[in-house]
Amino acid sequence: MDTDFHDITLSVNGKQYRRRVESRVLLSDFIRHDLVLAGTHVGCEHGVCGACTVLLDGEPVRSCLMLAVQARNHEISTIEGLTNKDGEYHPLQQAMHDHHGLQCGYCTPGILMTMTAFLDENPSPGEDEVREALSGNLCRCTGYQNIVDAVLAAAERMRSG
Amino acid sequence: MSTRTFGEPVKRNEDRRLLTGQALFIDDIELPGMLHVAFLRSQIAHAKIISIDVSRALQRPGVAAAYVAGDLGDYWQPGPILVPPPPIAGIVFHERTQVPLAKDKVRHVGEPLVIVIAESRYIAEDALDPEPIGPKRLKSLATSNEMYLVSGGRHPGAEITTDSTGCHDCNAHLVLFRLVTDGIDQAFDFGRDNTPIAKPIARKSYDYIGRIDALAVEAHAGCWPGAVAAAAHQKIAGRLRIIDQIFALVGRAIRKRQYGEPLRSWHRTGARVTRIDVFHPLGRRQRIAGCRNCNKQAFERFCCRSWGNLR
Repeated sequence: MDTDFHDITLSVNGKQYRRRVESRVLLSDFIRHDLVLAGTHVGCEHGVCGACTVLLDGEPVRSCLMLAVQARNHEISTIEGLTNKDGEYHPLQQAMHDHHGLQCGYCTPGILMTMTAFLDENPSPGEDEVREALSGNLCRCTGYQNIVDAVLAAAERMRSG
Repeated sequence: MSTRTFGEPVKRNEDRRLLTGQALFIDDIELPGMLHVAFLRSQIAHAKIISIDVSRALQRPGVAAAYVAGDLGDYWQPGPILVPPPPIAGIVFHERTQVPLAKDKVRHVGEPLVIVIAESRYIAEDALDPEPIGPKRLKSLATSNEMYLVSGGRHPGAEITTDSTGCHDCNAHLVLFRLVTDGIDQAFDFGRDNTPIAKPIARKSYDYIGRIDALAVEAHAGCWPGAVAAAAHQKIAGRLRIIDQIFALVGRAIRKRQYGEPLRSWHRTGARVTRIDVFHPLGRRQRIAGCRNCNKQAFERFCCRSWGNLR
């Protein structure tokens, strides 16, 4: 197969990267293998499971449904950038830990990225709204209840500052 | 007694790695010269395999090897029954467990036909070219009841074959056992006005599918290093790395009994075992490494042997 390459520049978690990538490389593979940020997980590669969710200019996207070249000149946020500079948890990470919102942890990065964007947009969600927002992220371990509890607790904590 | 373990929820030590993207899953491991595997899977539920020609795949740059069922030799064995049938008197049990690669016949959509090993997953998947395969499509059946009707001769015109047990084998039934079924009509009585009335009958037909997934998730992996084609069939002992989560999955007693010997055999070859630090509840848990007939195990042992590692 003929291959063609592109030089791209993009920002990931506030850091600028310049890489030469094959045009067909998925954004998820680019993040994991080229940038060695393996916290973004690949589950179904069909845009169904949500494990690969990252933020593209603040909006949650499935990185397995995007090509790396499409992220050129955009700003990406991944799970590795969720803690603050001192390594302290984001309130949502803390709430997930406190409420046992994860077991195997494979879906967790995608859920955290989806929910951080959701809470930015809706700081006072109801339970139904949280469940609706979670509907694009599959978790086979937890049964979701603890994740919902964690998101609601994180929302409350973020509102109280 | 401390409330560390009683009286309050126990916070997990591994959470920080999982919450910050630092946990080590199998797919997170990158080794120099690592090869990648892709499987060509059937898109047909039921078919006879006439031939599979992998020569085109082998001609692709970056492809190290491509194998079909016949290449596996003695390593090709049906997998074990992981969940035995329940003790029902008079039960007729037909064992239908998975095989490493489909041989002669495809029995369900997604059944693996070809294994391709290449320098990258992209190249491996590029080489999954279905063109050389010439399947003869057979009728696929959806339910055991339909299968019974066919195998019982009540389905004229269907081109169905039966195997030596007289049982039709197709679809994604990993383990299938059946008593008898008389069809849906026999589940009803009929009232005076011929109105069907559900009849409280004992269930006579069983589709028993062991809770065994076709694709083990995050179970274990073997990494073959080296300069791919040049390393083929050469001794590269000591450079093989088996990455496994079985230490995290099982208790000490089970570990020792079921997994100890395979691990020791790997170690004897100079293979290194890397423990990943994630307890993953998905996928197959039983006999991951302990059973030589397990599909993945068959692949690993065959590929290792072919590449001059495990003797």
